[in-house]
Amino acid sequence: MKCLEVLNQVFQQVFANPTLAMTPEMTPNDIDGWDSMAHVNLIAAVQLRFKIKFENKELRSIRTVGDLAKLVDSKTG
Amino acid sequence: MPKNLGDVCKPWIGVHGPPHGVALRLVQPDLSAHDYSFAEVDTLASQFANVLTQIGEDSGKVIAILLPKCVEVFASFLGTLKAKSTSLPLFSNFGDLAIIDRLSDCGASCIVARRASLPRLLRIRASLPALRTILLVDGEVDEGPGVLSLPARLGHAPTTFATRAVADDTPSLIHYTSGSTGKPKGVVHVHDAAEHIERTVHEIMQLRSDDIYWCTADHGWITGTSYGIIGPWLLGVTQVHYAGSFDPERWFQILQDQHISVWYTAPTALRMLARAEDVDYRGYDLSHLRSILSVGEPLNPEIGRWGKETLNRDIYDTWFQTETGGIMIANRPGLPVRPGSMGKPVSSVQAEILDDGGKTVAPRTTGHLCLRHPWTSMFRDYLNRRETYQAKFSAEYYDSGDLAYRDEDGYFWFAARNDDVINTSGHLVSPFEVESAVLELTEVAESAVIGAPDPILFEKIVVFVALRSGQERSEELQMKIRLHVANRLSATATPQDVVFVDSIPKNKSGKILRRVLRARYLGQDPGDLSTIEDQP
Repeated sequence: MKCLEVLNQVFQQVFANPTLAMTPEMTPNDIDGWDSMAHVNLIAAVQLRFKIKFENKELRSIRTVGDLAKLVDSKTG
Repeated sequence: MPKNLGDVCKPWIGVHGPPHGVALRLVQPDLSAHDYSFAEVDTLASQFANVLTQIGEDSGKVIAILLPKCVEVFASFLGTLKAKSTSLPLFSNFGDLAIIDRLSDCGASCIVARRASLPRLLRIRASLPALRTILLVDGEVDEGPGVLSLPARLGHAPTTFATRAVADDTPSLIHYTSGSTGKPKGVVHVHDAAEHIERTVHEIMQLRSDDIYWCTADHGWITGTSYGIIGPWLLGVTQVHYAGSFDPERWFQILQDQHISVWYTAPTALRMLARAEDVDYRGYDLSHLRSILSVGEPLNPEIGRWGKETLNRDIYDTWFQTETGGIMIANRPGLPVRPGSMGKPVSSVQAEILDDGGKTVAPRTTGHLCLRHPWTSMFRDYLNRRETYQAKFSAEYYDSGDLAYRDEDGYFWFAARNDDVINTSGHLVSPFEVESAVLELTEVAESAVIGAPDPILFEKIVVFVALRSGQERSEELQMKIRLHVANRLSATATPQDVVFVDSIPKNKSGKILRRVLRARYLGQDPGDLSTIEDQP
């Protein structure tokens, strides 16, 4: 999960929380404001930051921060 | 029917009809479920009411709820009502500005929240002098002055509470709604609303005591309180609530595994389900599902057809507003569905289409959708804005602000809003609020917001931005604008499109000409441009 550090910056920006410290096992329940609507913003921000695109099916497999990080790693090599 | 809505679970304690006295089945994101009986929910609410009393937050205070779906939402909502305070349920994704606007307007003195929200609440606390208490549902110990642990107090709170007497017009809850100008308005509802809500769960949803009912609405929305807390429990019906995010496969797993018989959801959610083409909905056993109803924005006919073809069921669209407190016009089982129609009024409701002079118009003529007042779930005030409230009423009618027409057979059809308010996935968003939030960014010189048709959201928020000189247009800045609005207002208010322009068209008195922006965005003729201050 080499992208986790950059991903952490994206989370901080999306959820306006500069102290947010992500760990792979974190879920939407652990982060203030991470609901379906905010998830759309998060995905858009991640795609822009890493210059990648996700498929709908891939998005549905995301349950944790670690799932998202693995997905980003798989697309960025 | 209980006089105080906080006692809504009480009549069903010990009544072991199917499915065994379960009031609430809370399904977690991993689809595990926990049941709470009517007695357990009522006891938790009583304990919460005792906590409020102990800390001086009973009788006439405003208690805000900033929580995702969890049992404490229901306990704190009902407990607040039992203690004769007023509940202010909020969307948990509200941003700083949205929370400040609402809590300061109603003078909320207490907020129930999670520890994850604490940094945000401490950050804005200085802007909320009336806010005395933050009650944390997952804090084991008090965390400083006015930051209290709810579990620590519930553990010592008596399990019974002498519910406070209320009058018909005692405030029960406040939801905020957006107008085309100004800050959001606090819509005040009262305990007497139970009568109309009960009528509609009988007549429109046709709920039965053995039903298992799922309302997907957030409790920050009027649907989430009238039909996601109060309505089904007035009839002793088991409610399922899901603590996870939208996900087509998990939603259908819940419909199947929890034997949902009546499902109340939103057109946006149905459109998103219909778009998930790689999910085989026919593989799910929906044999228990008797009715699907929707609310929020008009249900487009193609989604009605999708429901019929894919789920083998009609979808009954319903219409109401934060102000009406309960369903007013609806499709329903037994009434043939005319795709795209709002249906017909509830039996106790008299709806009319009136012209600008207040006269009833002929069938198929668009006019103002008005409702004869009063009805019991009708809002009783816009908090601190009595004149705005009174302006919504004539001697006989409440003007909904929607434009609609009625056909020869009495079906109503939505046409448009009568103002600039944007209906995005069932949430009303004020262009003014979004513009104000965007203007907080130092890169932005001017902004203007419109709603544009969207195949999923009904309407999407489009923001036009003129940058200060020297600022670069970029995708990163577009994203910054999106996220800033989301964090200041709510994720729901996120602009789906950020369009950079050289200037914002205004008339000679400085009013933004949204119709011109809307026409240009949609590639339509903008019409008369003679009033524009400086034509580009």
